[in-house]
Amino acid sequence: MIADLRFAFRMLAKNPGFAFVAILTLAVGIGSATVVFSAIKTILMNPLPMVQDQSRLVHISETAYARGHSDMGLGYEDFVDIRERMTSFEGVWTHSDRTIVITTTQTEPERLLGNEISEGAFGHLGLDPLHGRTFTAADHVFGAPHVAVLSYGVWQRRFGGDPHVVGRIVHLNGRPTTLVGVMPKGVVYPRSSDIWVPQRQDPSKNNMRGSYYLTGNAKLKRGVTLEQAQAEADQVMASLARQFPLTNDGIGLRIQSLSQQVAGDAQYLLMLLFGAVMFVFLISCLNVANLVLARTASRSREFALRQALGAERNRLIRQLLTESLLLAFLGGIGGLLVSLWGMDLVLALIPVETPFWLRFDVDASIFAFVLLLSGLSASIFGLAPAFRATQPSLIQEIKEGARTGTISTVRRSRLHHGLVVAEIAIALVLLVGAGLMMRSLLHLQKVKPGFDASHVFTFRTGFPLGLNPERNEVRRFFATLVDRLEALPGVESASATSVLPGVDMSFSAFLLDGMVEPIRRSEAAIAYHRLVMDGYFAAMKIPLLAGRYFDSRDGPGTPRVAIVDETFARDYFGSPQNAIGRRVRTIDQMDEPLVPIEIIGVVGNIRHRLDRSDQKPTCYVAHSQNPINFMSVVMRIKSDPESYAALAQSEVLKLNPDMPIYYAFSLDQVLLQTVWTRQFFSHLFSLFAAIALFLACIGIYGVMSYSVSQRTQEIGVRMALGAQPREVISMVVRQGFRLIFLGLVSGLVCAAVAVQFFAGYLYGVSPHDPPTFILVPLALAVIALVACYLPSRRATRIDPMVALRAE
Amino acid sequence: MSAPLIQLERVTKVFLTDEVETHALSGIHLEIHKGEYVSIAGPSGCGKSTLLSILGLLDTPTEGSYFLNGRSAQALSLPERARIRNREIGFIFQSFNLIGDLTVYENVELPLAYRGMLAAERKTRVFESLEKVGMGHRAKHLPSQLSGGQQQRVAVARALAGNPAVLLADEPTGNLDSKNGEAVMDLLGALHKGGATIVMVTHDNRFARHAARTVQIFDGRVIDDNPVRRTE
Repeated sequence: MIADLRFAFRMLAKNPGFAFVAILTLAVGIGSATVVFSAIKTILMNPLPMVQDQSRLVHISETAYARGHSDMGLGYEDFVDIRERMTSFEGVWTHSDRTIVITTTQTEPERLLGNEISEGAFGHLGLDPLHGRTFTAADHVFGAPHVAVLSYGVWQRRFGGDPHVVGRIVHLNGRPTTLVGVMPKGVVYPRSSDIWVPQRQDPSKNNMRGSYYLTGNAKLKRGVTLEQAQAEADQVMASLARQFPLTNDGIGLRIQSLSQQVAGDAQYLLMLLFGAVMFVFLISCLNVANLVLARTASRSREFALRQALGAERNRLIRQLLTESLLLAFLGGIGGLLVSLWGMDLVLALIPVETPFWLRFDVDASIFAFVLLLSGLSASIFGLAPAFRATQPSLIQEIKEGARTGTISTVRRSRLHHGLVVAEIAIALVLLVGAGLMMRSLLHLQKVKPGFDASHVFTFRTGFPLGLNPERNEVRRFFATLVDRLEALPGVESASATSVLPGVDMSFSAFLLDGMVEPIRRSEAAIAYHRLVMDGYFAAMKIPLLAGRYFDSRDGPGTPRVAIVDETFARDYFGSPQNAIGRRVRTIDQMDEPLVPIEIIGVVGNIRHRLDRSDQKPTCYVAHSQNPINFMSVVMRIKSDPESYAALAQSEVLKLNPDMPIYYAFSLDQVLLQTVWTRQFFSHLFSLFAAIALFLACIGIYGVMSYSVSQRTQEIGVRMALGAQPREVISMVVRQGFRLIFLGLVSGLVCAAVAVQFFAGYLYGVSPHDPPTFILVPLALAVIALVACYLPSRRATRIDPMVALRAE
Repeated sequence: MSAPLIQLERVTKVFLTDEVETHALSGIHLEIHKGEYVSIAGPSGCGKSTLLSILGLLDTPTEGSYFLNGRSAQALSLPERARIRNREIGFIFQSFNLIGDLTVYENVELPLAYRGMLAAERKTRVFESLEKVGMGHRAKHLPSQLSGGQQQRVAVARALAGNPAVLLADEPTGNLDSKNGEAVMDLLGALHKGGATIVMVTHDNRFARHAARTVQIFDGRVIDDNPVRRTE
């Protein structure tokens, strides 16, 4: 065995060109697969780092399927009832994102991604603190002293990893808060929280049923399945609907695996991507198989001699497999390097905060995966050539050929050709997939959102919970801020909205004229609910269809007014003109009296998400009449919007030195972020398809070059018989074209089946999109023909004299 | 007397390998007329194959002139050389050089296909040529299914099919046993009697004597150019 290994090293060293190309090809294949495997490993095996018993954790969310809502979140009262009544769960808890501004005397205020978490959550998750403690039951009592647990990242960044930070008092949202603990490195629950605070329910606000503002998680008891828990949940929700028909009629509870929920679409897309990279890996193996076949063919005399000296076939196969394993092992090492660099490239493609599941941690599983792929590749590219090269009939054939002087290449080429056909077919499947995804993305980018997103800078700012400003103070702050921003040079207009398009899908229930209370929530009108300031529609260039925009007439002391979009007007009142003067009432704020709101204007529809074409009604309410603490400011700029971040920050700080700005982006970027998953996976898929195409072309180039070298004598004879250079080129290209054609036909058949997997992720493109199915094979054919043409040019340079002397 | 079909004037051929000059041919004068059967004989390495390559437009002389059918070969482009090889020269190689993946019929058809001849005419010509060499019944066979002698007869048929001005045979019996070798020589003799111009390279005097004229080459020079003295 050692002797075999030594000989294998010697053979690779003797053919450095072959070794380099083979190792590089394998490295690309193994490296691509390893990058995606790394992400899949995280998302499938460890979606919530450090969290215990992940297989028993579930995401629970209320539904209203009849109204098209499959994941509304959880209402507080329903959460309490579910926690008390459900026996399938070992524990139920909720969490919700909170903007938390931390202020210390030494540094500027910083906006942290906070998470308000309910009692017992850390215990059920099995998360123990690195320092201090987590929350006790007393911490969750309304009115108790404020406490918080820091993430490892913030502890390091803001407190320099000070082990005595526990017990320190800092100001969170203006309230003195005691830091009671620090979580260990790697804890990201529920996503990438910077800081956790205990959830507390204001007992005075006990009539919020029907408002779904929490995210629910639970832990199944041991031995309880998802189906069993779902069946019990259905019974519990049915009893709640009977008990609270106004709010809970038609409301269900959906239970799904937490890891699936965390991963969302990314899980399926990653699996698709994994399929793609495994195809890339397969193509790289087929390429190397072709190289090894060519090389073993050139060593046929060596094998004949070894057999003549008494070597058994098994012995020869062992030698060849040792060489293949060595090659695969070196390819694996290269693959590991490629995957390290590849991950940097992948991260550079992401326009938003890097998702937690996109990590490349070189651990034992990565090594095992690389080792597995190396072994697999060796068996793919090594076995067939080893068995073929040592076939007794082939060795006889070689001897016969030498004796008779006939020139035959076809039989020996069938395996090469078969491999190339397979490579082209696989590359086509990937290219069609990439083509569909890119076409889908182009469709998305062409979607007219109903407003002008170019040259708009946006940021979010406001009064964090705890500052408790007066409504007038909020109104005054935003009005002054918008005035000051509009006065900045280069700013055409400025305004603000509670929710930017593309950011949130939150909706509210409305009572319309003629609806009689009490009314079941399931029978109320549902619409997106936005609070906007004067000038918002003009700044966003959303057209007015009827009535008027908000203006100075709509103040705190005047009757409540609203502007609805065209869909709202048509769905509920028949036409934009009919909507003017009609009245609606929002019924989300159950603790507040229902105040009628008069519709004073109708504006054009906008897309709240680029990738959702279903148009739901939207109702805009005047912020001046119902001010809320946080708003997203929009500024229409004459030049580059992103250059206004510092100016905007400065204006905010001038008004309130404790108020940070965050989510500062151009509106184009905000919209892009709504489809970043699609864009990211489309780009990645295209990258891997391009690698597959490149490898397939290298494959066909290699096979045609090998074929030309094998046919040197034949081509020499043909030239001696008067073949013109163009006829030689045509002969070689024709041979290549046959392979390409076969590859394309097989690839198209496979692609027609494989595209079903993409169907759910395409926008505006049919899975069997004719342009993709016509243009992609054509493009592949042209590129592959170029790969054939190059060796054919070399064939015309064959000197017939040299070829004939080779006899 | 008519103009020579082949005329070589002071033809030299020098090969440069590793800065060493090898004079394969040195000032060859040679004229071959239509209908002649010339054997070029000499020991191994004397330059006879190089001479045949130049005659077949597979190689070019370093110096001197070559006229084929009164036309200088010097200024011919590669495509023109290919066209002349196809139309005016028929090659017979020592190791037959049949293409193993083509049938006997397709091998013989090859030069006609390069000529752009119509399929029907090609078919007639191929079968005529195969009949001439007695291989018409083997048209559908692959070369590997034939004996060496049969393969060489197919190679002769391929050379004849295009009705070339001259047949160039490079050691046509070199890979054959004596019986098959004699049969091929008889075939070339019959073709010559039918009017074919044949130039044959051989190092075997037994076969050289089948030609009407023998040109002896030694160290790249013609040392003898005589009609063969037949013993019968």
